[in-house]
Amino acid sequence: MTPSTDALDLDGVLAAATAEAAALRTSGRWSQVDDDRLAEAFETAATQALRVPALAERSTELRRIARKVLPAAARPQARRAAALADRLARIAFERLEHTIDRSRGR
Amino acid sequence: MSTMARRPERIDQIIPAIVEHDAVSNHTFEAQRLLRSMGFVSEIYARILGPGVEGRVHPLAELPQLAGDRQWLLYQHSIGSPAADAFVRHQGRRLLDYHNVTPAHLVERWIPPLGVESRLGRVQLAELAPKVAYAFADSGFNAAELTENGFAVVRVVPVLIESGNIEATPDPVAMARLAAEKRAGGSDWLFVGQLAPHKAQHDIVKAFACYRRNYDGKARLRLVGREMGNAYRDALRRFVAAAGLSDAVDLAGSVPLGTLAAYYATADVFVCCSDHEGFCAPIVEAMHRKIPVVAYSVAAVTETVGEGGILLPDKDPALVAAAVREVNERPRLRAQLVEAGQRQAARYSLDGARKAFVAAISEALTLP
Repeated sequence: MTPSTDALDLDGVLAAATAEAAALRTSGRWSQVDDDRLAEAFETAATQALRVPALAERSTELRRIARKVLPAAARPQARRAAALADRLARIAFERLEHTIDRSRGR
Repeated sequence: MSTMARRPERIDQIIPAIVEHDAVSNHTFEAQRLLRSMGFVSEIYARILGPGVEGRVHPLAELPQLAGDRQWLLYQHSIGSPAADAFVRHQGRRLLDYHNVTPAHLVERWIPPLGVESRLGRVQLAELAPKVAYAFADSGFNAAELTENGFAVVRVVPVLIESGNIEATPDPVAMARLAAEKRAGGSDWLFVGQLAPHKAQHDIVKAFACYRRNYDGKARLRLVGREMGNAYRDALRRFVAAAGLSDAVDLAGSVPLGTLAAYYATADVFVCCSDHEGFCAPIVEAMHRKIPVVAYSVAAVTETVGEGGILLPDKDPALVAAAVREVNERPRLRAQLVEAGQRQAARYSLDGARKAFVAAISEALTLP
């Protein structure tokens, strides 16, 4: 390949990017507050996403135990009762989260 | 006086898990083609067979046990697995191809079993060292780890990148959609790789948020790759929404080769913020397709990018955004980076990697 352009100055490019990044921060166009806001948003998203598989895992375990201890005839009623309890728990949890969010001013 | 080992009839491969559109899996399939071209019978045996490999891979339980001088085994090591036990039980010569093991601390929060497998992978690496006659790795970074673990003969053989990833022509439908979005203005950031915590797509999103706010309010971020577990994908989706970027970030998932080619064809910059890579084939694919690369310098990424892209000492969102701005606002720099990237990609050409692989196997055949 024949070089069609001048030599690439990677150190110079990095220096220019570093200077521009510093300018972004000193001018307040990107600040620690932004870093913290995004870090917290990701942590919240991670916590929520990780809770779902944990709940599913617990639900599978409960079903496994129920199959062992409940007679077959009682299982449909138990399933309906568990679904209702699950719905109520979710509503309660969402209300709690909403209250926490409001208390944090979000 | 030493004599060469008898040439075996077959060199079979063992891989813990194999799946379509995965760099190590692609490498394994290409290695099979090369071993066959060298005149060996060569089959692939896996403990876990993912979708898309039906008819091309056998379950590990079907591995034939021939006399040691008739059959050699090549183990593709990138994760801890009981498959390594079958490899060790083999009586013939054992070869190992190392792609690195993702550090457990980067994944265990998200996929606890994977954390366990990662730890096991490092333990097994040390245990395999005295049992392997010849080892090779797809980067100098990985080769150094083999040497540290006591492997006697270590060579570097670049990853055999699937030719379709660099040769496929863009799918016209995908191309039309992406090109139409591009006409609306704004630059396109691209990263290709599993949606996985150690690939740290969330750090790309942070840098992208900074870039959108300060330089290009119409920019788009394309994240292409299948998810490694649901939790990280869900977290990323929630995070993108919380950052107000749902309209700008495309979580494309796994896509066919033609669609992948369309993503490459419409990208302005390839951005990598991974915390760990054993090679990172998409960096080479991007360079091959004339896309400037901006990457956080870590693990094997430093070596794969080399002088062919911008390597950053950290992942400060402001620094990543500023580096992308340099690329997008300086046409001469872009041209230089494209040229440098192509030179670097040529070092990892499929043809060159094939020759290196064949040379490595040939050398292993000369060992006593």
